[in-house]
Amino acid sequence: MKDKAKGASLEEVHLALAGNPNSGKTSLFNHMTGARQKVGNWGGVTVEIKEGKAVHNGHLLKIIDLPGTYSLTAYSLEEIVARDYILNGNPQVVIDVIDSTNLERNMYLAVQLLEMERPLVFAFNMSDELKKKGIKINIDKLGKLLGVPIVPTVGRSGGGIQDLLGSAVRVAEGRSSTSRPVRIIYGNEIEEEIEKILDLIEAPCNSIHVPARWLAIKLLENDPEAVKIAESSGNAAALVQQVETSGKHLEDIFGEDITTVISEQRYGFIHGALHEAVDYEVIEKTHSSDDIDRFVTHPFFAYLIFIAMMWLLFQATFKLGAYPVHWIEFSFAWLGDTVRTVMPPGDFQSLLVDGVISGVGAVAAFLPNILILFLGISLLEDVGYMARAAFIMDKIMHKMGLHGKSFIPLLMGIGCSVPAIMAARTLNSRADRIITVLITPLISCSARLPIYVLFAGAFFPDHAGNIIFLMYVLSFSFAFLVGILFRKTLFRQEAFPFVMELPPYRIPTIRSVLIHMWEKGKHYVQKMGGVVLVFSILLWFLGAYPKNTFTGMQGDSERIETISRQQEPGALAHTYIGRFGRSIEPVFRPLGFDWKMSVSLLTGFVAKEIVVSSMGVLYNAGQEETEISEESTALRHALKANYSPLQGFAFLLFVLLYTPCLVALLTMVRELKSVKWSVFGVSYQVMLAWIVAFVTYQGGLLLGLG
Amino acid sequence: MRKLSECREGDRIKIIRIKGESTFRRRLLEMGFTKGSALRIVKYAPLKDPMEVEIKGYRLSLRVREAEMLEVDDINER
Repeated sequence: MKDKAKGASLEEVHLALAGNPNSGKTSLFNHMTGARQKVGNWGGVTVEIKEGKAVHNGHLLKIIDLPGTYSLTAYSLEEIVARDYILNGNPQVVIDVIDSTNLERNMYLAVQLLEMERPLVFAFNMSDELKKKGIKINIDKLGKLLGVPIVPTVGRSGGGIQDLLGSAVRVAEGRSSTSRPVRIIYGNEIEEEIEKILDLIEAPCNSIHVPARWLAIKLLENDPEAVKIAESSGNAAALVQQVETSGKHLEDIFGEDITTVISEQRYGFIHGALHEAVDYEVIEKTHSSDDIDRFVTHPFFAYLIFIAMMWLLFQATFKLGAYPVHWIEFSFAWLGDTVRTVMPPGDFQSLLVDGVISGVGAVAAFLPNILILFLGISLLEDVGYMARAAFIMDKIMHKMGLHGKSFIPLLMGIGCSVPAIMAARTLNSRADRIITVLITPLISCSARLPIYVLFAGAFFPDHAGNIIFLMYVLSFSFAFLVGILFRKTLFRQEAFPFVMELPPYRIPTIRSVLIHMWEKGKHYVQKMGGVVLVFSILLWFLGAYPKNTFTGMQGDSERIETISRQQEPGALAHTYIGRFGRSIEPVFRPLGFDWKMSVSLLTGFVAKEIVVSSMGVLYNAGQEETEISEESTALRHALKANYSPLQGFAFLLFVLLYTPCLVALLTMVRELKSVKWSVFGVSYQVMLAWIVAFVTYQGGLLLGLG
Repeated sequence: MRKLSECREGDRIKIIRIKGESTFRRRLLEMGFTKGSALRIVKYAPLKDPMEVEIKGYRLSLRVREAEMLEVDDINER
């Protein structure tokens, strides 16, 4: 990147970065390409394949950042993605980023890459820490032994990157003197069987595109993807038959399954190579990491520290974030008012103000929370605290069918479901991620609070605080119960072992933390902005048309106060949302809700707090006051006059559970990358809300509480 | 011979056998839990589950129920 492009004829070299989680791969990638990307101390942060460009010595480099994996089996999505790219994405060179302070385990992936027979370079990362740990690596010797050039690098500072890229280019051009094919020999018995399988793979009737020896070994390991390749080959029957006989034969000889034997042989090869080229000096260890850990996972202090960290994260995200959120809302409100005064009233003005401006405002208002939350999460991850938090919380969370790390999304859900759902990305098993995303909207977000305040104030003025507290207790109880239910029913099969690396504590680089925060914000605006805008305009339309009065229902999700008093009470009832709300009233009748409640609930899909203003509009309660808010006495009186406390309570329960709001739903779709699961998420919530409200209302009637 | 889950903090042991279904065994093998590998129990989490172990020079956590699948033995001091 520091080299100037020389002339126009740049030759493109295609590189792929592979490596274990926590090997510093992503931070090397950032230094190479300058791409805005995340460095994590947590396993599997890089889920998607990322691409970047760099220029080195007159070569244009296309660099792919593969998901961080410990292995290349076909048992996790990340591994399949990485493996598939190496085999079929045609990278000219694969750079394996290896944590050189943790060589033995990191080399396991390296050995599998050797077997895939792709041109390789090893980046021995974190080489600055070697001396401190008393590890001396004879890099030339090890490189020659493995037939792969090795370059020491330092991910934090970017040291060694130019050498690494230079080496990769030499390998790509076939000019490396170190590169040579090296084969892991599995001993006579296994080699004989490999030969037999190889004969069939290499038979003239086959045109298999993957390396033959690699395929043979994978077949012995009973790798499902390899079996698929074999089954579609020209002599599938013979091949599959041979693999089966070989497997049985070898199992008889070794007395255990071949996967175990092959894995152990690989580790044996690694052990042998490292024994030749690496010296481990016994150093009087002063584990500063252990000293920190003594506090962080201390039986008592652990939870104090954890609570303090979570409190800080929450306060920073939502309390500190509230200031910029207010500025944003204020600016958009001002902009809307300005347009209103400048432009003649009419449909177009309404579209612009209530549809477009408030829609963009709604998108922008989430941004501060998202940025701060991810700044915090990224700091906690890079420091290494996140893994410890999961470690101390896992027992509790596991009881609820969740992972130790699910705690953070659920906690953040108290503030807002949108950043909370995004935070579920830090979970690495898909089952954990889906369950967490599905139950996060059950946690009562801050937008639901105005509704509680209004209803609790109207029906239970003496116990309003208790009722609101009860809502939060119920919210967490439902989230955990549903979590257990989903784990027991939908994801029974996926018993993902909790083998989680606990990386040493590291001081994060400001750069990587900022890059991560920036990435999240950019991602949110790019991927969500347009969709939210379109849906906001659509909902505004449904809530404003057809018109039979002067002004329409304001589709604004953020500003309750803008529902002005000249609003005709009948207007909302005649809009599409109003009509739909009235038509589905029979569905709500068993819950004790009338059409006004049902219309308000529908408008609450835009944003929960809208329920309050809709009720206000429908009860024409804005007349005496300038603004409708949850504190409005007129509205409270109207509610008290029209509904029983039981109806009010059933309504509260329904509001607590019924659906994520529009933006939360769109975030779910993005994060789950599945419309099916998102639809399921909304459906189960609506059903749960209906059932709970039904049981409460009808049960209450039976008990004579109506 | 005993289970890994029966070991105490600070115990140094070696792996004899991993039981359980193949995906689980495979995962552990990849993480370096090969036969004969030395293991140190660093500590248990405050609620006694999961546990932290050191293997091949790095640390990782395992749930106690998973640790039950590992048969281990003391390292013979020679």
